[in-house]
Amino acid sequence: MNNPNRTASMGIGIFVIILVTLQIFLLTIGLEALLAYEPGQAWAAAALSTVLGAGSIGLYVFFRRS
Amino acid sequence: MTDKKETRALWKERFPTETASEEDFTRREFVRYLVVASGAFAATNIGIAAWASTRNFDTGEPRPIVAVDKIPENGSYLFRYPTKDGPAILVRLSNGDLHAFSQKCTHLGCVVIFERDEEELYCPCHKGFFDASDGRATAGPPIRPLGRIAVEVRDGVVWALGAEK
Repeated sequence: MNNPNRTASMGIGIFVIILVTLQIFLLTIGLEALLAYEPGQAWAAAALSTVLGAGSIGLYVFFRRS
Repeated sequence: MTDKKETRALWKERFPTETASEEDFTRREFVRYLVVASGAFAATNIGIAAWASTRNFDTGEPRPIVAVDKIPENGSYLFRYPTKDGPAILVRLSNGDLHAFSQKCTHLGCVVIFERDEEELYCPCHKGFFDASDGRATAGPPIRPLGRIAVEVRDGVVWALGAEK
């Protein structure tokens, strides 16, 4: 029988790995925008990256409290 | 049987496959590191966006490049524009049209060369192709078009008027 706590923590871990993968993708978007002189695109990538960063921190806090 | 077990234990003892602290590294700690990494990525992205906002695109000053008759038909001429650090290419197509572009490939910054047979610009690093009449990417990894340089012929001399994004 699976341990629910272990399953939950593993699920959150995988979710955070996906978030970090998206962050790497957004970093390439930001660098591409920097080279293309497109600050609007770079700020959009930064905003989305901040949302993902805040989301992963929120998840971690939730994970610690639960 | 017992000898085999002892042999395996001895092997593990001599060549341990786990580090001393490995068992102390919990899943929660791993997630914590990932969260810190995610925050660092977010901060880096903000820094890049701020840098992109402060960067000004240098369009360059109008200046003569080369006499038109020195460029062979269906050929190219290399020059520097808008600064001496900016490699650029002037192409003269078979129909006589003149077009100039930044020579930096928009994929990873290698220099593009003119392919006479196909009348296109080719990046040999990763096989990227650009249309020689407007600079748009036609094949390979590049997505963005080459930076264009406005040109004009004045008294038989090709002038670069300014770089475009």
